[in-house]
Amino acid sequence: MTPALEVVDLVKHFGAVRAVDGVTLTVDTGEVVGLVGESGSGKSTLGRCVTRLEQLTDGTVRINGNDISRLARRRLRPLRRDFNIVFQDPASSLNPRMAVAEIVGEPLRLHRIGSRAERARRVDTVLDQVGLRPEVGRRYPHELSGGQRQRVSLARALSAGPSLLVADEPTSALDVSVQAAVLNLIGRLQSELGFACLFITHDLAAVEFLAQRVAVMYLGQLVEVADRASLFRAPRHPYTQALLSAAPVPDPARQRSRRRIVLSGEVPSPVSPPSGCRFHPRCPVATEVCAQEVPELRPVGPAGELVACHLVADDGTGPRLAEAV
Amino acid sequence: MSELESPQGEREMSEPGTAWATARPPTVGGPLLEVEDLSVRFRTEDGAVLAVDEVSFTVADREVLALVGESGCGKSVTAMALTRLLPSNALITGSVRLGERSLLELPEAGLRDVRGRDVAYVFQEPMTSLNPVLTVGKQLGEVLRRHQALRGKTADRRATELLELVGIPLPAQRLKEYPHQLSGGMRQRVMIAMAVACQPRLLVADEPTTALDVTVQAGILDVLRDLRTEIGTAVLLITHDLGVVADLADRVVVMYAGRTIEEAGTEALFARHSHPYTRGLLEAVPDPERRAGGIREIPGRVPTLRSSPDECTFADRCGRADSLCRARRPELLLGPAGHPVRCVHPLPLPEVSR
Repeated sequence: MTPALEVVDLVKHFGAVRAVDGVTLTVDTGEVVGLVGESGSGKSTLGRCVTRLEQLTDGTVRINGNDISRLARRRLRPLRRDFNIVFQDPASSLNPRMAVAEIVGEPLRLHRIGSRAERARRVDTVLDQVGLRPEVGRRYPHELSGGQRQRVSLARALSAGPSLLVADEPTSALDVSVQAAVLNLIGRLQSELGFACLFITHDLAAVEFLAQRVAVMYLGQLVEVADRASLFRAPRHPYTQALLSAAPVPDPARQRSRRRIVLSGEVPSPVSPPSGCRFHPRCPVATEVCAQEVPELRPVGPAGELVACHLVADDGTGPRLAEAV
Repeated sequence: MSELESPQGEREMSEPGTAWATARPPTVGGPLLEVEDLSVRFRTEDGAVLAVDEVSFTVADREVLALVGESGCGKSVTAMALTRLLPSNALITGSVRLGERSLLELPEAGLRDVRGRDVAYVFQEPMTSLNPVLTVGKQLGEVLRRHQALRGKTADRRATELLELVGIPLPAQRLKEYPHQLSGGMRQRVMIAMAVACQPRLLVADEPTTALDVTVQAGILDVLRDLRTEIGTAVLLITHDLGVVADLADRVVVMYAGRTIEEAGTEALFARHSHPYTRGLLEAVPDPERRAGGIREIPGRVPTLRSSPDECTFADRCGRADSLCRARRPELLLGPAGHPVRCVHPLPLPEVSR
């Protein structure tokens, strides 16, 4: 079956900044893939390239088999019905002069879907799906809470029935209790409507909750792609191990007995990324080969998880940092 | 005493239902910080807003006390009110004692000496708290000159030591750099170095790691933990991140709509919390073990209060609420788990710990 999203060797440079530097990733129909990484990893840029909010420097993006990488705006427009994006801060991504019903109905209008009456009915349906009453349609973004605004963003993204949703840190600006509600909502909508989702976040707990597969990004490249369970149970790449060990768990006894892998140094500049493996200057187990040769993202182990690390063997065995430090 | 036990002792001899004010055990030698009935009202164009409603707590020497709650619960306003760091439309009542001094009664000049020297602050966004046109060395030097009268070589040496203390590599070189040349994590370390330059007795850290990546956060949490052993500073930690609380805090005060609703040792709060809001906060963290059922949500939102209502402020969002909860303002009483909770229907103890 054609995947909902295929990204092949995607490159995005901003001048000298190599924000995304050769990423290959697929999201199958109806699948949720979590894309995690820290600031500067290029995860948001990847999301913006996939939805063609940025021009690609190189590489290919296919949505449901359609290559959209270099389509002109006019040719791209009808295909936009198939994919959409929600952002971290709904306050700045919603037009303050438009009522909620106009915002949610805008994709329908742009794609000339249905009659005016049908569009109005569709808006009510979508508002209901995201847990907002029809009256909210007459209100303006500034009259809504952060959680309600994020529901409106979701309603707008989903009103034209896309098969792919890119969600870029959709819960990061929200309070914990509101985060819970929005995560639940995305999970419920995804299983009811069956769209594929690229869920971009730095929140590992949210990814573990929502995603079926997880891709880990570091300095413009993927270092590991694996099933949720195996990634969280047995992360293979040293960076993934460090990342998981650094996130504190809300359980004092467990948190205080964990061994934290503290990385030395800083994330290097994406203007002049390190030679070989980009993680090698901070990797506690790096060897000579890591500084010289670029590791390939390759399948390892019986399940074929993808790892870009010289020290992980083909059978999937490799360094376990918690024991090494 | 294990690391997780609260310095003030967890299990009380008093019966559940005893007023917390009378059951509170005396601290040996008195606490470092003693906050009593602290209230903060803001005069606004739309009338008064009650941000903090009779909050009382203590911080012992070298203790890490966490103030926890969602935005709008009053935790940051509480922290700022301690040294009257609030805009002029704020009306602060109650008492704040630091050792022998009553901070709310000190004249402004006296308070300026307290701020920075005895009580220092670290905020979420270090870039807005650092002066962009001065080098790190100049800014640290200014603090050392003003509060400790250190100058020249002595001040330079001390500045280098401070950067080392907060884990900044090549400190001598960093002193010559400007804030924009540092990463977010390094800037936050510089902020902490400036805050602890005068060995304050209390460091108030308001969401100190919220803007940082987790791998950077891990390093900052280590620095905050080490401060206690290296310079004996107590920390008032304000955060909404329960993972950070689990990592660092000795004791936790949970705030809701300006009121303290539960106070316990960290371990007890996670294992034997009594207030439904505390449970709500803990369960709002995604748990992969419970994917099918979804995350437990807390419906509704934190209310903005004009005055202190004679009822439980959480009742509208609470599954356990009944007419009793709305009949009067619940007191902070010793609950079933042996720590204070402000709830008419506290949660029963979990089976295992009975």
